[in-house]
Amino acid sequence: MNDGALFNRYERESAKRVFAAEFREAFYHFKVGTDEKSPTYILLPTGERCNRVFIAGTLTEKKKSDGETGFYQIRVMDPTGVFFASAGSFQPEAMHQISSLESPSYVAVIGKPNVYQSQDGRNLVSVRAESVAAVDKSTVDLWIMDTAKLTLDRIEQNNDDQDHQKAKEIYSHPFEFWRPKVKDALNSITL
Amino acid sequence: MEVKDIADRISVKFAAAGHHIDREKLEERITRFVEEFSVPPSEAERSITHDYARQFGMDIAEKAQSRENNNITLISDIQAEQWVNIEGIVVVLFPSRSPSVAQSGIIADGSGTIRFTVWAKANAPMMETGNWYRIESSVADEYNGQISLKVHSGTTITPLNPEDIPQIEVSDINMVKPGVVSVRGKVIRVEKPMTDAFIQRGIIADETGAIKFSVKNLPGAEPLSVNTWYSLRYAIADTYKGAVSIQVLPLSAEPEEEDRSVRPVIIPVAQAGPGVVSLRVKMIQEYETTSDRIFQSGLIGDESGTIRFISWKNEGETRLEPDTVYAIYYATVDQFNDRLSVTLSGAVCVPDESASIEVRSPDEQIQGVFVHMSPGSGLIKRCPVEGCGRVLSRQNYCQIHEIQPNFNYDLRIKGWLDTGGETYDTIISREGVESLTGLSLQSAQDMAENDPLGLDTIFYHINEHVLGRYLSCKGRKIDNRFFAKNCEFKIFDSGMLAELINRAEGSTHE
Repeated sequence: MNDGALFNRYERESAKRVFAAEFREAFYHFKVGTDEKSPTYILLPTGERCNRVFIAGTLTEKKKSDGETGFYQIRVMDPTGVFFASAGSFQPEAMHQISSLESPSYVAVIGKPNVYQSQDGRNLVSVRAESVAAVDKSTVDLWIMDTAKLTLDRIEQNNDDQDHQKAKEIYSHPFEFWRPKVKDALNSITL
Repeated sequence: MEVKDIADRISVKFAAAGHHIDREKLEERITRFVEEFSVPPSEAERSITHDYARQFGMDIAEKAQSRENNNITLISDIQAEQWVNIEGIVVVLFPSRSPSVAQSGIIADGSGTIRFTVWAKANAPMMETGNWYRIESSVADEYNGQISLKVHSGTTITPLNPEDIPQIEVSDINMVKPGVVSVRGKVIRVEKPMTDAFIQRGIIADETGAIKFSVKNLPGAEPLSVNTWYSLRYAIADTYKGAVSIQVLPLSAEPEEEDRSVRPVIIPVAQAGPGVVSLRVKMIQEYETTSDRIFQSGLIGDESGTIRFISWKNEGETRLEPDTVYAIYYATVDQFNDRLSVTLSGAVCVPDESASIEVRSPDEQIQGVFVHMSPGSGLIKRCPVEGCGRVLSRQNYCQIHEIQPNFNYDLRIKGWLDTGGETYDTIISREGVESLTGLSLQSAQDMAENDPLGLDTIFYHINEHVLGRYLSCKGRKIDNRFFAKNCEFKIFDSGMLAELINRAEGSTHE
C-alpha cells in the first residue's frame, strides 16, 4: 500500500452528469483538506459530491461583459431548466471557444461548479467553464440518456454513504423527487 | 471432577519434590475456593500451589506453576494498551538508534510477528536472534497504527528451555502465513544472494505450492541442497510486497530420506498473486526492451487472463517465441505499482508445440466523454532509432538519441476520457484517430505543411472533432490509464432509451 502512495499518479476528478433542475438547487459546498489547493465540491441534491460537471444542451444566450478583463456569460438549456456558465481570462481556452459560438446552437461544457450568493441573498450555482465545444444534436441526446442513467443511479443507490446522508440532512426534497424530472428529460428526446 | 484433577496435579507436583500432602485437606481447600467463593479453578490451583510451595520452602514451584497457567497471549491476538505475556523467537534485531533503547527487533510465534523495543532502563538480559524467550508483563502500544511491544523494568525475560519451546504443526506451503511455521518440502532451486547478509536464497515446494526461502548469514547457518527434501522447523514466515517468504534459521533444517518428485501446481493466470507460481500460458506479445539488463519482456496469457513477463540477462535464459504455449514452473510474481509481473529468470519454461490456448483478450471497452485534449496530441514526430519511437520535442530532440532530423510522423490523441464515475488518462493511437477524424497520416501531413499554424492546425482540427463527444473505445486499461486502439463515436441507441424510460417510471408510484 505504501508503494502505491509513493507512485501516486495524478487523478482527475470525474465530471458529474446532472440536469439543470437538480443542479440549480445545489448550494451546499465544502472543501476536502485544509490546503489552499484542496479540491472544493458542491453536494448534489441526489447525494453525490461534484467537483466538475459535463453538460450538453442549447446555448440560448451569450454575453460578454465590458472592460479590459472581459468575460463571457452563457446560458445553456436542457429539458429541465437552464445552466449558467462563465469563462474569464483564467479560462482562455473556453473564452476562445465561446467567442466562435452562435446562439442558438448545441454546445457541450466541461467546468467547475461554483456557488455564490446573489445580492438578494439567494444561492446561485454556476459553472466556470474549462472548455466548451460546438456539438450536434446526437451528442445532446446521448448526454440526456447518460445523465438520466447516472441520476437514477444516485437516486436508487444504497444511500448509507456520507454524501447521501449529508444530502438528506441538507436538502428539502427526498431523492425520489428527482425521478419524474429524469422521466421528463428522457421523454423530450424526439426520434 | 475438576477438583479431583486439580488435587491430582498438585499432589503429584509436590510428591515429586518429596513432600506429602494430605489429600482430603487438599480437596476440601480446593472445593472451598471453587464452590464457596467461586474462584476460577485455574486461579484456585495457582493460589493453593503457591501456598504449599511457601510452606515447603520451594521456589521452583513458582516457576512450575507459572508454566502451567502462564496466560500466554498469541502474538496475533495482541492489542494496544494491553499487558501481555508472550513466548516467541527473536527473528531480527535492529541496530539501536538511541541510547535509551537497549534492543529492538521483531519477535514471532506460531500466530504472527510483532516489533519489540527493550528500554535501556529495563536492565533486561540481551536477547539473541534465533532464540526463544518468554517475555512476561510487557506492554503493547500503538504508534502510527502499528502495534509493538515494550519491555520495561517490570518485564521479565526468560530464555525457554528446549523442551518448553511450543510445538508448531507442519503446514501446507500454500497455507503459510506470517509467523513461525514448520513446513516440509523439496528444494527446487537455489541461488547465491547478492548481499552478504544471506548465504542462500531459493524456492522450496510441496504438493500444495511453492515459496521463496532465504538463509541468513548467522553463526551455524548452512545452505540447503537442491533437489532434497527438508523438514524445516521454526522457520520465520513474513510478507514483503504482498508475497510470503520464509527464513530458515540455523540448525532448524533437517534433510529427509524421502526422494519423491513434486508435481508443480499449475494455476490460472487470473489467480496468480505475488509469490512463486507455475503457469501454462501462450506468449502473446513481445515488448521492446527498455533496459540493457532485460533479456526479454512481453505479455503471456491463458483462458483466464494475461500478465506481463520479464527475464533478465543471465546465462541460459529461454527466449519465448510468440504464439507458442509454455509450461512455466516456479516463476516469481512481483507486484509493482499495483501491477503484477512474472519474472521468468530462474524458472523452467518448457514449450509445448502441439498445444494451443485461446487467450482471453486483454482489451476492454470504455465508453465516455472526451473531456480534455492534452498537449502532445495530433501530428507528432517520433524518434526513428530502431526500438525507440519516443516522441520528439519541437526541435526534433529525443531524450535518448538527441537531434533526429529524419523523424517519423505519427498521429495520436492524448487526453481524458470520462465516464461520469471514472476518468482515464487516455492515449488513442493512429488507427483510432484516423477513424474518428477521417484524417489519414498523409492528409494530416499535407495539412500541416500547407498551413501557417503547422502542427498546431492538426491539434485544433482534432480537438474540434472529439472534445465533448461520447466515444466508445477498445484497448488496454491499466489503473486509470487507457491505451485505446479502436475508437468510434458512440451512437444513439433507441433500445437503451426505452429501457431508461422504463427504469425512470419504476418506482414513481411508491
